[in-house]
Amino acid sequence: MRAFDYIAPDSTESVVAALAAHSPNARLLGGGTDLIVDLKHTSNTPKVLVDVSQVEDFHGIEMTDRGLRIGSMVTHTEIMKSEIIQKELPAMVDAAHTVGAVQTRNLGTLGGNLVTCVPSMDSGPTLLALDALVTIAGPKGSRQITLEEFFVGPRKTCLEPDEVLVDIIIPKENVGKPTHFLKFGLRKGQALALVNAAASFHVGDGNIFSAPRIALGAVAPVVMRATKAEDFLAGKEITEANMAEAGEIAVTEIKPITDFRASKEYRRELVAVFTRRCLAGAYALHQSRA
Amino acid sequence: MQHGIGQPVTRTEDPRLLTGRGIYVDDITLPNQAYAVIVYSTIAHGIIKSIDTEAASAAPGVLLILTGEDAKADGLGGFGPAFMPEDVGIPVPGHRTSRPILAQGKVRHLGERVALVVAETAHQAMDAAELVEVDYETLPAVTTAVEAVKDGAPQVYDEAANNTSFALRMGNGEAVAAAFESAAHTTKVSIYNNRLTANSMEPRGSNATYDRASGETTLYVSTQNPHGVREELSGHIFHEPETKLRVIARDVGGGFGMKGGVYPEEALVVWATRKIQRPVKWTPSRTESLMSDDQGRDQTVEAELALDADGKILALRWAALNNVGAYIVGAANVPVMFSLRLAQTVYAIPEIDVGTKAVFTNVPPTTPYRGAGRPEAVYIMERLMDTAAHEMGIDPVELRRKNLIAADAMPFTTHTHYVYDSGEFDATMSQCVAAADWDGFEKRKAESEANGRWRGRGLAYYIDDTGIFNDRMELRFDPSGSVTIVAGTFSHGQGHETTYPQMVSDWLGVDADNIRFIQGDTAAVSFGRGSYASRSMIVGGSALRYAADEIIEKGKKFAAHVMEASPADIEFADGKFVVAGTDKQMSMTEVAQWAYHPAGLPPELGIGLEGVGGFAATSPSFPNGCHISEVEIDQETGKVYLDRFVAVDDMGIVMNTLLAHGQVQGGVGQGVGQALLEDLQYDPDSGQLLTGSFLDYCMPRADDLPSMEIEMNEVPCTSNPIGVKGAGEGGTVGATPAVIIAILDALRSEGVNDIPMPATPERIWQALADAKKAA
Amino acid sequence: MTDVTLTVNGKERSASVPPETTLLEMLRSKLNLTGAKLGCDVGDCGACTVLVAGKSVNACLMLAVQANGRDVLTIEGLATAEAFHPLQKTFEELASLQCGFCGPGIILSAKTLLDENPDPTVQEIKDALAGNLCRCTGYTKILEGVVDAARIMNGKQDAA
Repeated sequence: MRAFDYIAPDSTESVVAALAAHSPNARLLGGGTDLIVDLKHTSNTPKVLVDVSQVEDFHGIEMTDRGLRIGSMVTHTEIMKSEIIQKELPAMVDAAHTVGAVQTRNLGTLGGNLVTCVPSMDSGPTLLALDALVTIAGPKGSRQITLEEFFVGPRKTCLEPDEVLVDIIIPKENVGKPTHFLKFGLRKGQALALVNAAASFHVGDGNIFSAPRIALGAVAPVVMRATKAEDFLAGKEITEANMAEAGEIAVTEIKPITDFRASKEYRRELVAVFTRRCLAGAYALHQSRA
Repeated sequence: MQHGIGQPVTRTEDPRLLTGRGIYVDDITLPNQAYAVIVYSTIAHGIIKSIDTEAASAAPGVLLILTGEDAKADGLGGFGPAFMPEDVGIPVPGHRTSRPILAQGKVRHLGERVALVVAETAHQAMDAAELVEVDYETLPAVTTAVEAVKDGAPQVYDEAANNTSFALRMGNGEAVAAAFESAAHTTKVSIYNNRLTANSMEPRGSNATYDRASGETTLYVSTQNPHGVREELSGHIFHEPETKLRVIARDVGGGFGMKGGVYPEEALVVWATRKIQRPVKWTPSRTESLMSDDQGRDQTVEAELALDADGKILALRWAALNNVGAYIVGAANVPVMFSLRLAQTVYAIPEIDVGTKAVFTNVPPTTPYRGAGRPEAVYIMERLMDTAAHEMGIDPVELRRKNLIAADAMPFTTHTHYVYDSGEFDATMSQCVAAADWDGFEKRKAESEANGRWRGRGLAYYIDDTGIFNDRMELRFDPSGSVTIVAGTFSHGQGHETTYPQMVSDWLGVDADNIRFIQGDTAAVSFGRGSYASRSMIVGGSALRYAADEIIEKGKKFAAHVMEASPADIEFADGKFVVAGTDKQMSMTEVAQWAYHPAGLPPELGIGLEGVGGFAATSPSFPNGCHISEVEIDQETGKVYLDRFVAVDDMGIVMNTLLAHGQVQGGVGQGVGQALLEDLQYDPDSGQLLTGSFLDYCMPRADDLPSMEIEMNEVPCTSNPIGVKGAGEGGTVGATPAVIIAILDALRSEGVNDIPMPATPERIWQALADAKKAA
Repeated sequence: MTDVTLTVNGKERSASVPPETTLLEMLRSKLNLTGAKLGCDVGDCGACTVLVAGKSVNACLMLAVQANGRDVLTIEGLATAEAFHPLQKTFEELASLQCGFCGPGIILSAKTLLDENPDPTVQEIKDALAGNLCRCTGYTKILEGVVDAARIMNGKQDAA
């Protein structure tokens, strides 16, 4: 890596001040599992690395009155070990489990995964399916936006150079919502996703899909919601046939590419299969709790 | 704990390796160390119009920059093939290439070395390397053998029409054609045995230091053959006596054939250290390794089998293209030729007609990779057998049984002039079938299907030819009576530090814990050939046996002198020299100590007790075995789960069961890797490397492999004095077809009869989709 | 330059390094602890695995300065003067290593597993080792070694 300066502020304000002082030549360092790899392969080195792992506001997993708050610097391992997440949102545990391997999960952070914003990110789909919000701090203060607004394009979020991701909030009504996540990679561990899928819905009276959400990764420039498939499901009876149909509809909404890893035809097939399997998995979770 | 032959002795290597005290080449940093970075070609084919090093030379910390013009000015040579067919008695001329240490005028593959930058730190060298400006005129590139032989393809060498260096053929074309005409059944398969890279966990690396006082250069290098490095660099690059170069390999983290040859980087650091008179160290990045390591396999073949109505094979015919890359270097012709020589594998086949062409393309050189030609031959044969069995409705075990060379037909001479000395192919196969619970398969299949997965099983019988070249081993006692093994072979994970002492301990009756082992240093080992091609136990072990015999003979003479008897009356057993019929005896240790007395030694015996042994196998040894795997396949995604793997191997007499099992398991891991995961991919137009990291060049991890059950059927080899057959490669040779055949078994009911390697989920899905369409 | 102080294998060690130095570079070049290996430098292979504050990490992905003030355990610190760690013992008994290059990383990954999960299933062991690549062994004896070490650490098997 080329030379850079390193600072590790310990408050949100000092992070923002550092970014303001040095941008656009500053970059945020979380777990480093993406950034350090990038810096080893680029000559476009920032002047200053701002290590945000010391900021207390960026840590912690707790229920608040707005919902489940997860600090941006929470690692994938911490997510897997969190009792409340294990109980309420095991899909997040599953998603964290698919990130790299133990060593990368000990370093890698949820915030970092979202900010790096690659289409194949492992944590995005589940959060998107849970209508997650993100808190951003900047020189003008804090703001909260939806994760959908946060993701702009491949490797591009709406963060300004002087802004930092503080935390992620799962809205209260979605804490405990039956959700399931699946990743399809070339290998089980330490693998890039060819397709990621998450599905989430409440079981309404009469055994119907209520507030269904389907989120897909690696099949479009950003992690996306399959809103047509969701609209199809809303209010319908929970059946395998409807799940399968939702999968077929989701296929029409994606924009997969063909590259040397997989063809777009195969990715379409995987989306159909995994959408259905995720819906089935969410339903199975609901039934196991009943 | 017993220490003798056949015992599961724990490894002498392990105390240091388990505690991080192994010394691999990147662990070595020398005083006043300078660092080298290579500028590699970024295109697959082109003319170098100019190289501008001005900005790079002015960069901070830069000590030296060298290009191909400098190599030419210094009169340095290039790397050629160890042998072409015409050098080994095959009257087929071929275009012989010379790989320069730095490109001169032209680059012929991505990753060809173009310039060397040496600086005070590795970072400074990297920064300066980025400032080297190479102006290329890009030429069209061709990366596959199939495209390269076509008229109009870009030519890698003007002298090699249709990019073909040479063509080889063995067997009887006419007889085979006649057999196919009249056969009751013929079977055809088209195979691409895909291009792989070894990816040892330790990358290559080298560190050279010039000594001003002696004028000698020492090269530390991660290699499988230190003496080969010395020979090649001295003889072919620097044109100087070997006495000027010392090569040292300490711990080496895997090689698999990829580190068996000699690389430009090794010459470059030697050259550079002599110029700047400071040590020069080179460590590649993993992406550089993927790009610049010599690569493996890459054979495209159309193969056919002719059988009679009962399933007896009448003839085998195949025509192949071997993609040798841009240069034929080192042992590159070994996989080409070994695939032909082993073509009939373990079957009694009346006639064969097999041939291949060595084809140039704009990819890095192809050299041996674990198996080196035998995986290709066995894969062809086992796929033909499996396909024929299915087409003819004959049980695959039965079809093999009908055609296996019988144990009482040994020694058996093949059409390619190999003599199989021993082998119980049928018995070994039966042992494996039983061990794999072949009969329980249907029940497991039903369970899998209830879970939405198909299940298939695959049996493959492999054979391997091992024991190439001669080698030399020494045994030296010292005045304290301890013995040192000086080995010409070179262990890089195989455990020779453990196995050779086991053998010497048994033969000489000395305590294994007191046996010292030296390898890997050309100053300490006067000659050797290293380890590759599963040769070490056969050639090294046999040479060691002869060295031990010499010790015993000399020991008898010393003992006779001391005990005042005639040498003919001295017997040696259990470590003791005994005067026959008496109770007068001396231990080996006592005799050895005696041989160093300062006076009173009979002049004709000399001083000290040493033995030297050399061995050359007049015939290869033929390890062989049966592998059975079972797979499950997700019916929707095509993902393969490898559920069980059983191997029964005949490696002859097994020196150390613990280590032999490990060799099979590791070999199987790599065979599975090719079947399911590994593929070196180049963009067909630009020649750019697509699989440039471990994320995309997928290798098996712990969760991708099942536990493997390994059994042995020890059938002693009769062509070497210790009865061993090679152990290192069989696992890889057998595993690949066992897995692919299992996949096809699972999918046949869906109309799928063929699958390329690696059998990725998408390829399986595609094969199923195509079969549905065709139905 | 930044001063970095680590407690490595129980001893306080310091070095002055440029901020862009990875923990792996510091261990290997400054502290002469070459047990952690450079296999890929991008966190794919696990050969650089060390423990920082008890957690296994890829030392090639951590800046040395990020480990400042923390406890670091490398392979050189695993055995005591008196004895091998049970993993080292079982790996020796089974000949679980071949070339040894992946060994330090694998052993430390397995150690963290056993510290947290004293009785893991084979599947849990495979999952714990997903970040450690081995090219030589096919993993069978490594898995057996971890299972046996777990038994020793649980007192289910004599350490002798």
